Amino acid sequence: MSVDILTLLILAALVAALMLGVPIAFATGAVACVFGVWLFDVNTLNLVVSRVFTLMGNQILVSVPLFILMAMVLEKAGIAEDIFNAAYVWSGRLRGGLAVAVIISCALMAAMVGVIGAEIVTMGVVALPAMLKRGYGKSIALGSICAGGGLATLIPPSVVFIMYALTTGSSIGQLYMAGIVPGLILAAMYIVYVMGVSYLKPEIAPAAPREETDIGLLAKLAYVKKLVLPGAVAFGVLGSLYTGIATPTEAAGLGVMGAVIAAVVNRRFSWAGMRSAIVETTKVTCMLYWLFFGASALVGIYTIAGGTEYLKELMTGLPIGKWGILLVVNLIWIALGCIIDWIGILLLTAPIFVPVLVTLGFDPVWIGVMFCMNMQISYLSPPFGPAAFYLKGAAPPSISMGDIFRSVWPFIGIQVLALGVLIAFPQTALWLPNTMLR
Amino acid sequence: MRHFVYWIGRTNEWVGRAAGLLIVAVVLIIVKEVVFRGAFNAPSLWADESMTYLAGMAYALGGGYTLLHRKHVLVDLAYGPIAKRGGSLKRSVDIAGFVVFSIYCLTLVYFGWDMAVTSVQQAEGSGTLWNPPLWPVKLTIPLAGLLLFMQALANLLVDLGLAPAPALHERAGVTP
Repeated sequence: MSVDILTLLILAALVAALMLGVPIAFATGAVACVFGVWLFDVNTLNLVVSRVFTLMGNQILVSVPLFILMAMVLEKAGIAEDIFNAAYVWSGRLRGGLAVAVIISCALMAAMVGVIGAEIVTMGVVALPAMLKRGYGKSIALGSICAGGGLATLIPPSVVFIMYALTTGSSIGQLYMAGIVPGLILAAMYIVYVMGVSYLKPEIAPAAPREETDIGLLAKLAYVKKLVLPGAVAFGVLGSLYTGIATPTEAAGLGVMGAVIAAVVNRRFSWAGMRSAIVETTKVTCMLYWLFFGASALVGIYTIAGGTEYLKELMTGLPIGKWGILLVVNLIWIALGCIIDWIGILLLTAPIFVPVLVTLGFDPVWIGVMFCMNMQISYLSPPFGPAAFYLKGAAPPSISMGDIFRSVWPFIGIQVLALGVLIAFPQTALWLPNTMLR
Repeated sequence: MRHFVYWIGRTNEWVGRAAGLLIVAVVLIIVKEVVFRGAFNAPSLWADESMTYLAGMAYALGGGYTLLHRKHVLVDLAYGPIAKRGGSLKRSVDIAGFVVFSIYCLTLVYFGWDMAVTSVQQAEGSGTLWNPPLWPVKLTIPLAGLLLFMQALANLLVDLGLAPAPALHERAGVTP
């Protein structure tokens, strides 16, 4: 059987399994088993099992639960409210100040809590009612929360980068450093947009009442005080990766310890919070491990059947030049992002796309940042933008899914623009990792 | 069947909680290792390997736990409308989905058991200086497959309306 027919058959089988409601992790695994036996023989199933074993011994994978746990501990300690309150008293006098505060807090939180759902849910509970009460338009209020929450994919410690590093063999430390500047650029673009709107249409983005933000410098500084320790933890984790004194796993483990200490010192530690942080970390991490098990089996079978090689040749053979191929990859990522989760896209497409792009002369770290930019879009884009669903879960009942999806379009536009900036100026991503000690 | 669903749920709940606690052990190993290496210049042979395999075993075994809480990512675009419609279409789709699911789990049980037995017979070690035996890690694979399979069966029974859904201590969860 020729490889192109095989590719279509595997794709069809996968889609069929997913339509039956089988989770991606097990759909990929089952398709791998079926095609393994069909194409070769029953002993191929040993490969499926040994892939699981190999991943269980993968040292980088251990950093995943650690980074998630660090985020969960800080989140249970109420870091999100602290950050938002601080950002609000400092930026409240600006027109559109609340929306600006949302984006600034999301960017700060992204540096401590690399978990998107947590930020959006907190902002939906804390910031959204405040904005609606002061007469903010739904478009600006909902859009800024969804878009701001997405920043966690780009600003380290992002779980997306760890997964990308594992799939493509790049360095986590370099990816983290590469995400910082583009993440800040994107946040700045959001802020410029929000402020622009608030000057053109002051009625949908008013400034905060004077009495709420004129509380004196000392009181304003008091809000910042609570952020010092968690900030130090985040800075310590990134700093140790930047200087290379700790491996990602060690940095994450110490980060967990630091997060617990910060919670205790700020008098926010509770055993119930700790327990639920561990429970949530376990659920998410099991899911991610099993996704890896399944996808790696499927990609393994497809590779020995000659499929990966075939797709690479097919792509490099396209008569559209390397920029054309890059454009095609981006379009596929954006399109897939509308219907499936980033993790599925990453595990199934990165093993094929990234080597092709690297052969064409693109930098794998830069491609990683580009992938994250694409996944920002996927978080917002209907019909399956996870950010919108998180926000719907936390928002008051008067907010409909339609309201949320209508609000995200300008922000998707900004994300596409930022993607363009990243592609036009790769140095925005690459200069920071290039200054790292190796 | 009600008892089956209940006890499988209980088992996976406890396996999941125990697995979750292993992350605390991993954190402690890391802190201990960094302190000993930094302060006393005494790195240990076993730290890296032990925490990696501990985490690997914990999260492999927790697959059934995550399935119990239905937190494995699925593609709603395809299955959502079917689930919403319900009726006999949903029932047949659920059964077919379970069959697909079983292909993978039973592969892990059967071939994973094979691999574990071979590992015991050969007294296989990891080949590092510490050289721990690998069979406990390999034995986790068929065990995890079995836990997943049982949970999938229990979930199917619940979905078909043959048993009540087990009560879960659910909190508002988030995924990255």
